Amino acid sequence: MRSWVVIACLVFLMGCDEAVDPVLESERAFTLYGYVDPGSDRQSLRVFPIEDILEVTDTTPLEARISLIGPGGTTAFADSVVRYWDGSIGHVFQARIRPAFQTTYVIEAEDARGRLTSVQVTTPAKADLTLGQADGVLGNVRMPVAFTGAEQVLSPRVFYRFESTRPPFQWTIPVIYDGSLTREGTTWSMAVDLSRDIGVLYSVTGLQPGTDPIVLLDLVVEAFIATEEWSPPGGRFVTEVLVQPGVFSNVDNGFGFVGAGYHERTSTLPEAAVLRLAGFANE
Amino acid sequence: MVRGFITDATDGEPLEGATVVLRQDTLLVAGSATDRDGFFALSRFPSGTYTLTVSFIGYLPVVDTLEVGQDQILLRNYRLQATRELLDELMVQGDRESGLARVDAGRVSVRPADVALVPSPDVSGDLINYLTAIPGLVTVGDRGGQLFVRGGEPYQNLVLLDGMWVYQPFHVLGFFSAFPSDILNQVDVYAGGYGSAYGGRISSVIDVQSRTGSKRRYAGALSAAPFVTSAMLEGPIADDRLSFLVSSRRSVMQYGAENLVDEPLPFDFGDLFAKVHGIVSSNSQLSLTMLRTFDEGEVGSAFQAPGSTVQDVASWRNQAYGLRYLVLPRVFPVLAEFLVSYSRLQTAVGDPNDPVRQGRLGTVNTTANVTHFAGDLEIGWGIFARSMELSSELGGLFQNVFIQQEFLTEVGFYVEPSMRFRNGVEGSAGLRVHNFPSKSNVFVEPRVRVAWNRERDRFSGAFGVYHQEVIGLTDQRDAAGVFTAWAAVPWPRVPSATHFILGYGRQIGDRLDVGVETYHKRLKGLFVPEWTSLPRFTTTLQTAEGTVWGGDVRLEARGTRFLASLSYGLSAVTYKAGQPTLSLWFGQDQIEYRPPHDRRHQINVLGAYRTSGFELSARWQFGSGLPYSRALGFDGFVLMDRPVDLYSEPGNRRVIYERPYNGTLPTYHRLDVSAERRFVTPGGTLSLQAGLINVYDRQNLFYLDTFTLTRRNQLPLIPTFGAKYAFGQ
Repeated sequence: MRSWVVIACLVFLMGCDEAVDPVLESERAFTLYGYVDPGSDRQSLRVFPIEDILEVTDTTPLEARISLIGPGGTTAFADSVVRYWDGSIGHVFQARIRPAFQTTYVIEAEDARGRLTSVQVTTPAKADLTLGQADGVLGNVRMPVAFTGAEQVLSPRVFYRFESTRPPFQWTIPVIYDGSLTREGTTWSMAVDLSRDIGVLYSVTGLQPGTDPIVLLDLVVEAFIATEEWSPPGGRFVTEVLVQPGVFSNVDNGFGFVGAGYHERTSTLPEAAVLRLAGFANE
Repeated sequence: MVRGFITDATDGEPLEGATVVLRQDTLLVAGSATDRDGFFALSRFPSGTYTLTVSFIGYLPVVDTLEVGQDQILLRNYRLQATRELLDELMVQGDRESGLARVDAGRVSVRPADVALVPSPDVSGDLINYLTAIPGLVTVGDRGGQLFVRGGEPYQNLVLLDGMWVYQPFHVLGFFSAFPSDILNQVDVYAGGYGSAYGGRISSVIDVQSRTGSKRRYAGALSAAPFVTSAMLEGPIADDRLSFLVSSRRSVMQYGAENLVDEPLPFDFGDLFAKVHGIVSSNSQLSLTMLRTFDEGEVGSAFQAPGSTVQDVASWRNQAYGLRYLVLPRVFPVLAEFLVSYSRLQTAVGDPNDPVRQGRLGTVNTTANVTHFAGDLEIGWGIFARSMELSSELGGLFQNVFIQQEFLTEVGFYVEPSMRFRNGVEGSAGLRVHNFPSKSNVFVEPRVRVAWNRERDRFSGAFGVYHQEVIGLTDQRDAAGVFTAWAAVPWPRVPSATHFILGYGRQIGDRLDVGVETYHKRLKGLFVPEWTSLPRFTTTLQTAEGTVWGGDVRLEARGTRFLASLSYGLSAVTYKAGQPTLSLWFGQDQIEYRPPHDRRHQINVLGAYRTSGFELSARWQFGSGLPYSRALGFDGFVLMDRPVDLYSEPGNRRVIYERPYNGTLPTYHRLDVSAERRFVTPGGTLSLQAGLINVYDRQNLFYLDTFTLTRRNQLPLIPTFGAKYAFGQ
């Protein structure tokens, strides 16, 4: 009998509760995105505070102390407010430092309540980028490219710098080579397809093949050399998959992804005879 | 064979449930009860001279002598004269086929007199107040306009008014629907297990049959209350042949109820019903029905930019126009019904001048239903065709606008024999063939309903398979779901449900009914919105399966002066969803959760007592909390698929969900009381009513935007009073 009374009282008390709290308590302070770049003197970090209410970000500086801790000591980040093309506002923190290659750093972000979000990042080793001899037949000219000593290679691009005579203009057009890399150990290979790319250049510039000759000044092969950690679960970068908090995240007591890497690039100008086979003009 | 219609002599209204008995000398030859059209048919008896008796409680019986020849089909229509002395007793003594405890394998029949017993902030009753007293029928409260039936979702309910589809007939203020008791003849509520004549929905059927206007005299009613004013008028256009009935209601909260409470009640709604009914000939009838409704209610400013003073408004408008032709072909022993209707629903939410989300749904329905009569065997069959247009524009803060338009067609037929046996067993077994051409799918849906009557006991059961092509999507950020976007399910799957129902009822003495019912539903091929941490309304769907287990217990006691009912409903709804990313997110291919309409416990207590000329009524409702998704917080997302330029890539805002539907909203409960007194005047009847809504001022939740924490509560404690003047009735 007594237990029934207790149960009835519990039910009654539960029924009396009118409050609703749709946000769970969390000790996580920040969500961080960015990368530590040993190839640059300036480091940048996008910082989102983890908030209880979904509000549009305003220009008020974030109450966050962010620092990069490495072998050389601690470097503080400073807030900068960015207004984006879509009208939204973001906080990108900056630090003046050039990190070393193949070195471990810790980024710490502390909020006004003392909650600490951190991420440990190791920069990649310096990789080698080698360009092979461009070769081929009429309409099928390729140039082999190899990145050696790289754990991860992202965003391969080929920048064509060329002149047109009608109108006389110097162009720089990038051609994206995502998905073209093949991996063997720490060696990543691809081939620059000059015969295909000249079609892209004509298409992008609006020049007419056969009428408006293109004279190649040089081409730059570039890619982003990263660490193995910069690999998405499932093997593909898909927003709908990776948007889930905690998926593709290396941040402790927070969310987001902070990687490490640098841009490796080199330029070349293939032989004139080979370029003619690809469809480029002489000077 | 002899067949015909039984009507009330005073107004020409069809009388359902009248008993028609055929005797030869004193020997009972055949017997039947009239249906909702007042129709009866007696067949399979030899030629000869017979005595036919028509009787109905509250009416003087009619006795007729018939000479029936071999294979002759006689048509006889009878008008019954009411006996005034008995009418007052009807309300409480009763028609024992209706009432909360009189369950019949998921079916509850509702009469206007039942509706009038439930406290309401209007002198005239409303169907919705009775529906929410039925266990297993769940609303989100007294604001919202959504009804969940035994684990189903609102878009899975089929609501019919004289055969017309009505998509969202429940008003923004939950005390009101498009069905005031003044226009009701009978309502059949199937919480599951419905027969082959119904299709295209997988949860429930609410089949509303409106009454026809009087063909003998003019009558009407005017009422005023703090929430609504209403007017009703009926009368003959041509005596005994053609009548009209018009009813209109309009909310007046800004002039009435708002002054009674200390807070704004930014809700506006109204409805207009009109019906013309004609007796074309002795063997055919034609009716035209029209319904229009509108609803608007402020729901905060969740879709506006911060700092905006614009209030978002959720709104919906129904239109339905229908034609019904009922005919008894003179040479065939059949009853045929032809229905043509057009139904339209428009919904919107956001700035009333520029809604961010809009949806439209239009349907043209054509149906033919035929019933063959052969003694205790009736064979019903029918054909149907409908075409639908669905369109939606879905925008809002933190998302881009998404526009879609679809056209669908559904066609099919059904056959459903039903049989009555002399040992008290009755039942029907049918097959419905439902074709969804846009899905290249044809489904054969078996349906069975069985009942066994043994003196005071009644055992019943039902089984059925159902399919539905159109679904309604609600926003995960809106814990109460005030906006629904309608969409066709992706090809080729069509959601289905299989219902199992077992029930037992017993009449104890003359005054107490007890009913117990258990049910189980298997839901397959459901589509629910994909979970995403992006704060947006999504029509990207994932498949899900569901199970519903439940049961309810009902007690109802009626006396000459009182009615009391108590019901308890227990229900458990579980969905299993399996979007491809789940294994990555949660380490499992499927995730099991309680959907947001899973109300586990529901209690309804209703009491009505008549004393010293007053009718006193009280009602207490309790519903355990509904599930909703709690978040860990809100941050942003940048797709790091490359060395992103953080100064040019804005990224997206993001909701940090832990697990879907990991929270429970507070319980819902409320007590309403009312007192009413009638005064008979030379010209009519004046009814005065006073009451209290939400007597102990419970802060029940109506709307919760889980992103901005915008909360709206249901009605606070409100005193109500009203007056109604009826004449000619």
